[in-house]
Amino acid sequence: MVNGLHWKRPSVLPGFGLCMGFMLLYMGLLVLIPLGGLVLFTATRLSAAELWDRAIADPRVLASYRLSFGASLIAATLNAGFGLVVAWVLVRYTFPGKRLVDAMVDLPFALPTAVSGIALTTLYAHTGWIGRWFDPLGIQVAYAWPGIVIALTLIGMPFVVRTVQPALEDLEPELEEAAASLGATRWQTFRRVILPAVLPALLTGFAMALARAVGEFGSVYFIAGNMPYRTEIAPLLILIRLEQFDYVGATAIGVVMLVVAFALLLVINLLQWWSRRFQT
Amino acid sequence: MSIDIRNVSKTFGTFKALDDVSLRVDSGELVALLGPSGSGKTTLLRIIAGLERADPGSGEMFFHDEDVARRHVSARGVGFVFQHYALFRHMSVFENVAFGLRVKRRHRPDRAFIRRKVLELLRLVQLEGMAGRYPHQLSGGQRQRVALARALAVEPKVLLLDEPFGALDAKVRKELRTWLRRLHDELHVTSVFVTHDQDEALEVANRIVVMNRGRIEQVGTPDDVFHHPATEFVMHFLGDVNTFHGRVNGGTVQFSELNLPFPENRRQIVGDARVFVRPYDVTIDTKMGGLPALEAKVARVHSAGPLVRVELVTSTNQRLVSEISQERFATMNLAPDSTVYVRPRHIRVFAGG
Repeated sequence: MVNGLHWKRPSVLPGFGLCMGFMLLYMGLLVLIPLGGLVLFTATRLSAAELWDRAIADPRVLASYRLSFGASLIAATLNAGFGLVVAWVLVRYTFPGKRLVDAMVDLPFALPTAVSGIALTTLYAHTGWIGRWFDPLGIQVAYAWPGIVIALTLIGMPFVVRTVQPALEDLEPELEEAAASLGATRWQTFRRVILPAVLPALLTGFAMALARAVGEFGSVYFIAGNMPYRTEIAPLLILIRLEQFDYVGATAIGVVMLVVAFALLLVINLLQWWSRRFQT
Repeated sequence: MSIDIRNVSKTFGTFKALDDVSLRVDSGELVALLGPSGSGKTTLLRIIAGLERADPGSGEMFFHDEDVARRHVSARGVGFVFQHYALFRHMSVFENVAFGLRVKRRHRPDRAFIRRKVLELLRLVQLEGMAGRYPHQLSGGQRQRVALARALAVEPKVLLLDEPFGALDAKVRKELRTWLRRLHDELHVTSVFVTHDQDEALEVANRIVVMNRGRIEQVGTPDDVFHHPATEFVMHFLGDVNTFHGRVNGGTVQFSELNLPFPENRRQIVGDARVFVRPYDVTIDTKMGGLPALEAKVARVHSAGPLVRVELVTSTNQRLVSEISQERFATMNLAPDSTVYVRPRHIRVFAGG
């Protein structure tokens, strides 16, 4: 073995070779080969200039990126806030039906997204139970961007709750008692003690909710109305391109989304690494 | 700042953690709450801190004649040190100690003052140069000193410590308790600490409050509770003890073929009694002297230690333990099964069978 570069350190855990091999195979088959193929497919059929024209500079495509990433960011931010509150309630308080609520958190995972999309559309359309209250105010929810944000918030919610919950459970009550004995108010204790302690978990939840929202298609399809330049998300545009047999155009958009999503996740991971600097 | 606790009770469900407890701690004292787990000592400390409320309608609590029973922990002006440190992991040592100063809403000190104060406290707890470290980079003893500095930063009127050395290993624990004693001599802040370790209480405290089953068994100086235990429980809890069953007859108590005069302050006892002898109060002789003694056989000898511990069985099959000096042991040539004569030097007698 070359000095200085140790692939494998002596360890009591057996099976490094086997597990590493399995991981590479698994990641390769499921992630690396399909995504690499996507990039390769585009690279062999489009020059850089063509890629720019068709997948970036086209105003319709650009509008869809803006909507997709913008709405996803808003949704993930909302989820970070509300998900934290939901996790807090589930960890800190006991109330009748707590287990039921706890189980309900995962429902958006299990539900076919088309179902939640249709349900939300019915509810938020200008004649729907909730939408009718917004209609007189001149706010259109369904078939407009607020509807998209709502759909993306719904499908991303479990991520934040499920990542923050264990972090909150691990937080010793003594920390809050210590802060209180030092004169801190409830708010100061939350701001300075609890929030920084759960921040890494919160960022993980945020990243997963964001990633899920960027890739979401089913629920948005029903609530968005899908008007070009206005309520057309990027994944839908890919489908439209495919239906027009424009495979190259579809994969070009796919590649751009891939790159942007990867960059976003990388930034969030760096933030997480920074927020964990105080941990071993 | 004195603490005055009057008739405080605390119930958790059906469990009575504190049963009508009253206690006064004078200004500048260092008091130990000593007892086994479940004796209510931590509950009492947490009620003093305001982390726990006494049962509704029970008891009163005063800090220097000021009623604080209904005051929130953040307004009581107490410093609290937890057994498991409860340091803020995401903050450096400096920020941990500065926390109490930074969250002040009225009269918040300026940065320069905070800096000066924190560095001064770190010097006091002998952690200069550690200001930039994070808690996970410190040893247990260092963490607990950070926790102490953090509690002292707000200049508490009362310092409360919940088994402060309980999570540390034996050697560090000994060092820290000697150090805490010295620190208290410097600062003179009224302090109450909880411990289940009688050596710790005896060494550190001005006064010891021995607790059992939610009640106070005895309050006194270390000498008092050790040499003049008021109850059987205190006798048992503070050190090893040999127990005999006996009967009081006039001015003497009879147990295990012995008839000994017993301490005058116990003369009101009549009939069945229990007799207690500390192992170091059991003398051993190889020959029958002129004084009344019990014949016994040596069962085991542990000679590794400052004292030699001899386990004995009397002719009536009563087991007892004696502790003698190494010098005395060297003159006697004790081996298992050798016959010896034992004599209790001091006995304590409590009523009951």
